[in-house]
Amino acid sequence: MSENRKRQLLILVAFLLPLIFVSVVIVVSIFPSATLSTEYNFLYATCLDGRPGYSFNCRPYLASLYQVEDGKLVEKAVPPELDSDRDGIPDIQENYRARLFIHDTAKNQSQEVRQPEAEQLQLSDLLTSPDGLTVEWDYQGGGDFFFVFGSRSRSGYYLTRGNGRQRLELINDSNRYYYQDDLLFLGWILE
Amino acid sequence: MMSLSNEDLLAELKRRLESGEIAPAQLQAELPVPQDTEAAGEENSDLLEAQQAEESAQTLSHFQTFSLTRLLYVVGGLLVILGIVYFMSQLWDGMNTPMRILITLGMGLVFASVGSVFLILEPERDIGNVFHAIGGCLVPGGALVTLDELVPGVSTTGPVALTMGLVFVFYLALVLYHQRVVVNFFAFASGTAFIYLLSDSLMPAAGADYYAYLTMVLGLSYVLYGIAFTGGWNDRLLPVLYFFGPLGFYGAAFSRVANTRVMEILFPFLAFGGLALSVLLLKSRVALVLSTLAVIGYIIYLTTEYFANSLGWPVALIFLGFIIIGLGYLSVNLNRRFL
Repeated sequence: MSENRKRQLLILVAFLLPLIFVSVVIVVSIFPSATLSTEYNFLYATCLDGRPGYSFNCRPYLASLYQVEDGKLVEKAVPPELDSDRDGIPDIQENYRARLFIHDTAKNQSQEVRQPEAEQLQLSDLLTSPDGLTVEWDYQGGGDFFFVFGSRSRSGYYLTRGNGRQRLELINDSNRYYYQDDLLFLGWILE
Repeated sequence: MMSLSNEDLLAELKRRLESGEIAPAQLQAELPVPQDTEAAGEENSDLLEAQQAEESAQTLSHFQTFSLTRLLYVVGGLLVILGIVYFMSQLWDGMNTPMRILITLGMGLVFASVGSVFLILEPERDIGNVFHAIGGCLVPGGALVTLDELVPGVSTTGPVALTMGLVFVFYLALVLYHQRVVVNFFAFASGTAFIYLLSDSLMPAAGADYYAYLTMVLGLSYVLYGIAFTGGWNDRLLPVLYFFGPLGFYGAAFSRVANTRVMEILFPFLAFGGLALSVLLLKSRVALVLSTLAVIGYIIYLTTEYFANSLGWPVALIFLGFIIIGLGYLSVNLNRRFL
């Protein structure tokens, strides 16, 4: 092989090396996420207080209101002294409006259900589904990149298994900003 | 059938080559190169390489000659860049979108175009390089300003990566056309920025580990470019490549030493390997210095991490001092004997 050909080959290798590295990492990191799926749907609750935007810190209210007992959703009385957002007004006077949703994991979309209908569902109150997936909230704060553009951040609920993660499109997700506290995962639907 | 004399034939051939009717590659393909005799092919190839080496040496000696004109070009170029930046900062808030784009990207492209014209008309002079250097300082920033002005509120790195990718393609085309170090420098700068931006846009969740390994790969890539460019028209880029290549490689690898057990074990091999490589293959003082610093850095890390508590800090310092003196002595000797 002539010296010139060797040089050209070396330049080609040097050019392709970073691209191959990036491609391999993308394939390795995207593949587990792309193949992530579960045959189970899940039930969750959100709370709103009627004001625009999000109602952060009402999760304790939801956790008091809804519980899973013997695989069934049950409504409990909220303790009168509970003040989730610590604003001096008890939760029972906050006008919180709780809503229940079934999330279809195959279509990645949610459907609101009425409480009596939700109470008929057979639920698993474990965080992990029978086939090993979990619903997790994640926030990655973004600093400015090359100090040119504004801050980036990606937050929200994800379906995860190991390194694989798939973003869940939940109701009111875009209004959630970087708070997770107006949503409560209630359980995986077994039947 | 009319027959041409050799002189006429060559003159006609030259005319057609100059007018572009015949491509040099086409002519070369038609020439009867003896395929069966390996030796003849080797001879041709050696001759070609010798000619190229001679041309490169001539170009190099021309460029390495210091002249007052060249100094004035550099000073003038710096003044122009400073003036433009100062002018922009004074008037920026009062400027509208087209004006902002015009003064950054527009002006950068004008400088690059003038540089290209000079490189074509007067390839032996440096004036084209100066205009390209000024243009290169304005074009990438100008492209980002254009993006920011035309697509306000960009919050992801995807469009930024795309813009930088276009700047890279622009400079890559200039490199292929002009074969000049100045445009290649900007191709390297924009290409490197593009890889980082692309990574951020495709994998926003990528952490410090990923960026460390990417930087190592880029450092290795720089060194490979350096080896390929040795003795060619890109020779003047070698100090830059042999500085940023090992710096990125060892810097990124060292940042993982404390976090990763594999890197903690691998790093001394990389550092000593680099020491040998910089002397035997790269023949570069810059690479030798950086490899020596990598070895020193690792020994400091080992001493503070594992020996400072057992030996006591003052004893560790004495031990460390002698090792550093020894490494310095080794490095200076390698430099004297081989470089």
